[in-house]
Amino acid sequence: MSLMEKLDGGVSLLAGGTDLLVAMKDGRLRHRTLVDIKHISNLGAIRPEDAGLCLGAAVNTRTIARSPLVKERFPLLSQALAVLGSMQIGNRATIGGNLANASPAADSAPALLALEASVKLVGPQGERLVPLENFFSGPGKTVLERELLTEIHVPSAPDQGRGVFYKLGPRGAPEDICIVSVAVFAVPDASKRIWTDVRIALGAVAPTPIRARNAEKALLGQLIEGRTVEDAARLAAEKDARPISDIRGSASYRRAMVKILVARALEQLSER
Amino acid sequence: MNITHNIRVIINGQTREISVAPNETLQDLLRYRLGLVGTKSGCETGDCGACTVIVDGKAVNSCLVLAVESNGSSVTTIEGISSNGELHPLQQAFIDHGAVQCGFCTPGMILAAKSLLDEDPNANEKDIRLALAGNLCRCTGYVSILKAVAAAGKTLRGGK
Repeated sequence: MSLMEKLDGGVSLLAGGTDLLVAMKDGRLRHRTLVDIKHISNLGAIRPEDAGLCLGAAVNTRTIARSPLVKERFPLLSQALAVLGSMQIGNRATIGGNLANASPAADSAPALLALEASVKLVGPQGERLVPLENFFSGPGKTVLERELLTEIHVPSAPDQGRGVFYKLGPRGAPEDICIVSVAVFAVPDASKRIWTDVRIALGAVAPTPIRARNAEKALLGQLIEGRTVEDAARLAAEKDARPISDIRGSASYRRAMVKILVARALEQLSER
Repeated sequence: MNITHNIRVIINGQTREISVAPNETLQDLLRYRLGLVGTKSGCETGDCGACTVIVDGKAVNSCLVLAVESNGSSVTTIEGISSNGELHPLQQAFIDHGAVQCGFCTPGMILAAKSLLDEDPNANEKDIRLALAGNLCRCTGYVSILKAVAAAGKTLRGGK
């Protein structure tokens, strides 16, 4: 921390480097100083925290995806991180870097949003815990103020809850930068007839990864059936998503895909 | 600025002490300073996998690793996987299955496959496909490559 203060504006933090080195090479970023944070000891661990998890920001995403603890407690997160990038990228790219880089298409974000994760930010003035939903402030922008993202906290989730992650990309391969991604975590009531807790998160369809609050609200307390699924998917596409057109897809295509993927995810979670 | 860093790194089993520039990538160190040109330079952005090397047991894109970051690590390149003049089973399988066309992707393919098989000797076809998704072959000879890796896996498991 004191090092960051001393170096002030000219310092950039290097973790896995999979985004940073590309940005340096194409001249988008010019650094006077890089500080490698990978080896700060407490940034490198995955540990259980009550029934939840604490992920060190510098743990690489493939290690998290393959962790037995993560697979057992949060298969949704493991599923999303398994397709974050190629094996080579996953072996370097860190979970903290994927979030702090704040791409609207960051593959770790929808799953962590659906799991209501928080991030711990440490700065010269102390530390604070920020819900991930409030962490992103725009494309490539976060609320970080000369702070270091040190940990990701994933709270315990209801046992009956299940999650699904879909990533739509041109190749259908982990290397894709997604056109649309959708993570849904849903908890039915004991009779499995009513949606009691549904969290829908969308990637690459707004300036930041977002929760689809309108769609979620429409499901709460409603019957688990085709009609409610359809209504929610439509709201997610029309009210929650605010996509732009870019080289990966047009805004209207993105909306159409949000509708289909949210419906598909909810249908899958409706089974049994 | 002419800052340099002295690093100690094990390359293909041999400990080297090298002075590197802060912005020098591992790929450039291997190719241009150490002459290990089996590590190919392709996209330079981590998309094509041609520059794949194994660092501490894990396949990485050497174009996205700074040389200084490899201080204290063990690096394996394509030049380091044969032993006593014997080809590695993956190298032999690539020859046997016609999995080499122009050859540019081959070192990266073999090292990605090696790290997978070292990690999981029982890797199935799905695992192999996923592990090689980050290695592009512009000759598009993927089917032979998949067959070669599966065959090498079998050899390494002692199945022949």
